[in-house]
Amino acid sequence: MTRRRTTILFFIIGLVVAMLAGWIAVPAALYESIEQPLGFSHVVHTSDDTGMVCDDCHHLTSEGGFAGIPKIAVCEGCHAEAIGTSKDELRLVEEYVKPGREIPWLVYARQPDNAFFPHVRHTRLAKIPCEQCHGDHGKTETLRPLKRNRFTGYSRDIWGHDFSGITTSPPNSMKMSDCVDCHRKRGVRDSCLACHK
Amino acid sequence: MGFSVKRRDFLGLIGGGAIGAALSPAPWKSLDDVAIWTQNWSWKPRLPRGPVEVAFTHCGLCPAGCGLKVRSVGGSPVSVHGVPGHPLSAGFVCALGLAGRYLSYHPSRIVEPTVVGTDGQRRGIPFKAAVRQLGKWLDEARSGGGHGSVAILDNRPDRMRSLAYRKWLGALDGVHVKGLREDAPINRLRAMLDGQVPELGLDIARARTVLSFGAPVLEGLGSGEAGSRLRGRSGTEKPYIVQIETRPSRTAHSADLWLRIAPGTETVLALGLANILVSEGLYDKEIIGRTALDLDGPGGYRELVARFSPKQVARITGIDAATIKKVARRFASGPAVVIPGVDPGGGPLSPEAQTAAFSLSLLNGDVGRPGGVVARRVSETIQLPGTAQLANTVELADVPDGSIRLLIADGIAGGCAMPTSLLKRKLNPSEGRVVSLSPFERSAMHEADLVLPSTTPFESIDETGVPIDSPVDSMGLTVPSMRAPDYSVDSLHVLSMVTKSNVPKITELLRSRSDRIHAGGRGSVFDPSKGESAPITEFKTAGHLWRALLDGGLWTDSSATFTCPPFRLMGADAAIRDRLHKVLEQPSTADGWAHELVLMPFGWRDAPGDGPLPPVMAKLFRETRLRLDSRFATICPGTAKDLGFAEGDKASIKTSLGSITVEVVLDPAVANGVVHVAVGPSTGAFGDATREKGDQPLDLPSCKNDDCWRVIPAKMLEVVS
Repeated sequence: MTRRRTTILFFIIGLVVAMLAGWIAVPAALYESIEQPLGFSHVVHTSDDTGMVCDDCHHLTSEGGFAGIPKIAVCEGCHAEAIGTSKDELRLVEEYVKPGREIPWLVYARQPDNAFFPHVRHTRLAKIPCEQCHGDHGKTETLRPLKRNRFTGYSRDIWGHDFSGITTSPPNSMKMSDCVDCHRKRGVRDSCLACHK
Repeated sequence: MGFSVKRRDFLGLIGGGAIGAALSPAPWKSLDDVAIWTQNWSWKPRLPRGPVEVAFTHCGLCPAGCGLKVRSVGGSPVSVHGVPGHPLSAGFVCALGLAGRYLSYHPSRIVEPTVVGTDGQRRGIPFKAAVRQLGKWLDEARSGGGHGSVAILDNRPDRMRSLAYRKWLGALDGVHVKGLREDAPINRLRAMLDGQVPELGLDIARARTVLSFGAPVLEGLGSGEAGSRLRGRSGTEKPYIVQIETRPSRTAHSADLWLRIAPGTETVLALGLANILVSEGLYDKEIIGRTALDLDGPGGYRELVARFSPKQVARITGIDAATIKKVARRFASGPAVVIPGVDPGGGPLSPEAQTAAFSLSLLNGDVGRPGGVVARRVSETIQLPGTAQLANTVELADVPDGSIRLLIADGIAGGCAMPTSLLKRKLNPSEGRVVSLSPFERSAMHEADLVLPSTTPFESIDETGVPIDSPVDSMGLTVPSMRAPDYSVDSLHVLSMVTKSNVPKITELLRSRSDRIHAGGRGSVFDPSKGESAPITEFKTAGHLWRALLDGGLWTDSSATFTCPPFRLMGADAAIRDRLHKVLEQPSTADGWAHELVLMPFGWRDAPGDGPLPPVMAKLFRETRLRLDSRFATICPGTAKDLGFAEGDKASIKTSLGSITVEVVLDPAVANGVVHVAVGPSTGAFGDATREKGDQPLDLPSCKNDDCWRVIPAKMLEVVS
């Protein structure tokens, strides 16, 4: 092997290793995986047997604010006593419903404190479907673990599961650039103070 | 064949690695994450997480007492809104009220007791040591002086807390001193009436004309409800507003008629208007002839005003005679309200100007008639435990100079700033001490000998007071919407510790008043959550009423009928009568003042300069000049040219007491020979602790014998850098 070829080989090795690290190792190391406190099936809750719809739990308040994840009192409406014998069901009743303790759900879509996001304007006025930002979450059998950025504490759903961070259409993340792109496309005000009050 | 790694291979590896890394998102994502990470360090303040709650309360930042709807997250307020339909504020909240919750976190907040040592330096001391120091000074003041040597300065002197102050002072032979506030001139009118006079209010809502002598009527004076009416937004007929003011204020620009009066000539104009009312017979001769005790006779009011012909008044005030006649006739055409205004920074008019202005109300028969000055029902006095008599309540101007040896200042804001020189005049020159109970360093209090940190209005329960324009008594509470910090103290608690006496708690006092109101069975209670009022008789027990008040409700009394008693158009005070007769002997004429420079300090209604601004407002005002602060002086281009100044120049304004450096702002609407400087918001109000003597506009006025500082002779000099 000539000296030139050896150098090229080393160059390629460095290139490949760095790219593998940048695309695979760093994302794997950057995000810690945290399990939800309880198992939960959206499919079971929205099946024809229960007759429930998304809005029963994730509704807008009378003031237009988004109620977010339901309180334990909502769960208690059906789960005052255990329905079935699954381990999660028994834990739900014994550890949360009976003591009246809220379930410390981990929120995939938690935005930073300095971002103001009114759900009512986006879902009612702009008629953006929930799935556009949150994904098809309502059809999941189980709750996936929360992938939390070790540096920032943000959920990976904010940056998006595509580590490249490239904005797609429709967006698969909840970054500021996604918000700005959508606002510009729709001709909506996109000044700093629109979201950062 | 041997394989060896050379330096070049290693460089190739590094180069490939660098390019490979650059072709991956890792470095760019890392930059983003590190940027976010630096914003999330543990010592950075974080927004609270927790349940979202909505509660109703009242704003305690000024006497207007606007109703507030406060949205809290995790126990901390995150947004404030007005309450539609509120009897006093009608949904209005000023910019200060909207941002007032931030004051709790203001950088200039006092977080520990401080005392000025013998070396003149301020240092922190423990709370118990501060109380001991106060007790020692109290003993010294009592042993060294007689009646009135101990005083409490109270900017809202009609609260239940004030009643407890008076009881405490009664046992010490002290005096309860009313601070500067916008409703103070009403007492001048009360002093013109004979006999027992109830509390009075201005019925702006039904007035046909509002004659404002420099009052900020369109900038938030009185209640928000009145402001809505005066702007014609309430659906009712808007009163005709005549603004009599030298400064081109926002009220002056927005009024129906602005009379740009020569500085300090308000008395002359008021008597000139009276001259037209009298000479043209624009008053009820039978009623006024019967009730006015000093209209006729030698040295009487008729003789006084006869000297103020329109031509003479025009020469002195700079307002043409035809306009003066037009205003007088408009004024006499129906119920009118006269407001001898207290400027939030420029202070009150002179006593004779206030008297002359209110004589117009009396002459027009406006006292006791709807749309003029109406009486509020008198609430029954609440008896406090203890045998001591209540101490007298006096206006600050009536306190003899040099008489106070220990002045305790209640920290609540009255909406008006006060010059340092005025306060110092009242103190004993050698032994006078000031103790301030305040959450912040307030203007005249920044030289206090002892400072005890108290709560902000959003952290403690108190009463709101009754706005100047309210025709009826009311009771609303400033229900805390955030927790008071551990280092803050309640003034009544401090007083009870100092004298080891049983001073009631503020909640007990407020509950007593609520119970008394319930027992009286009068008036109605506004429910902010429903936006409607219910008669008090619907509240079965006193506990129900108390609960409603704690939920942000407002009790309003029923209106009273009031017949104007006999009165003196020149007041009962011989000194004021004498000054009225000598007004024309003063040299203030339109020709005279035009060639001299006078400083007219002023204050913004929502940023008067006696306290800090919320940081968001401070930033806004700095960057936009929405409120010119104390760093700017406005002057007309002609005067500036005569003095050799241009827009943006630095100038030093000097008075007999000191000087300030300002930036010149040219405004053609400013009168010749006048320079206007806002007393606040000052640099200190932005959280800058470098407050030096002689460096603040409120240190410049040398209050005259009448405790006024609206017009101050001054010089404007070039700043040599």
